[in-house]
Amino acid sequence: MMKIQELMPKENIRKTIKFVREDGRGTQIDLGFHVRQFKCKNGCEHHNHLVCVVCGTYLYIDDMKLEEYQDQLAREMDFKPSRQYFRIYGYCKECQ
Amino acid sequence: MQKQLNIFERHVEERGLKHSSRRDVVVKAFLQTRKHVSAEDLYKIVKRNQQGIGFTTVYRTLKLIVSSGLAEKVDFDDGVKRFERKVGREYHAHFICTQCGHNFEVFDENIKKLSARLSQNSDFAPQKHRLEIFGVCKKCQL
Repeated sequence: MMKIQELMPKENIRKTIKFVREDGRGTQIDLGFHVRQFKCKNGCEHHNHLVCVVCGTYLYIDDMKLEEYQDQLAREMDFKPSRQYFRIYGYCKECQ
Repeated sequence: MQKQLNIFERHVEERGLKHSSRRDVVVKAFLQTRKHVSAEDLYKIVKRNQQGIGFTTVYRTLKLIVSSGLAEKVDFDDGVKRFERKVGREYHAHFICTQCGHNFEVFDENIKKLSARLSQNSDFAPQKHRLEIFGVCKKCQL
């Protein structure tokens, strides 16, 4: 990402991300605290994070039980899920 | 609701603002609604009950409600800023239909347990969580 930023003005990246989002091939995840992440829609549609409210760092959660729980909850509600976001806000180890 | 109104009143005083009856109408309308409302939605609700309150008043009051901690922003990935009541709400998930835009809440204690377990695994001290599930609702599947 750094190499791209060096070659390309920030505005170009912003406009490209906007185009990809509008085109439906990308999605924006608002992690809160002015942190926005952009992801390609191809592939994984599960976005689970731990977000630190102090330093803004985030960790990915890869948990089978969480995925199962989300699917089960959707089934109970007769809902056909396409993408799911789960975020836990709190304090990371360093900021505690 | 009186407790929440007191919290808001105290926050307004702390910010050095004067008491306003119009602001009270907006706060009461927001606290009474059970939906996720945007500034435009809230303006429509307020306008139905009382004429003479402008959109700017509603928008600024909504910002004050958020900064007082009584509400928080919810993102349904459609570019609309919506807000929900925060005080006294149990752990819940949001379901958003990508076809008709319908959204609803599901209250479930298991989210709390899951959140606690996942945080413990990563030495993380949790404060709050958000779970949003996008997809197609029952009506739109037919």
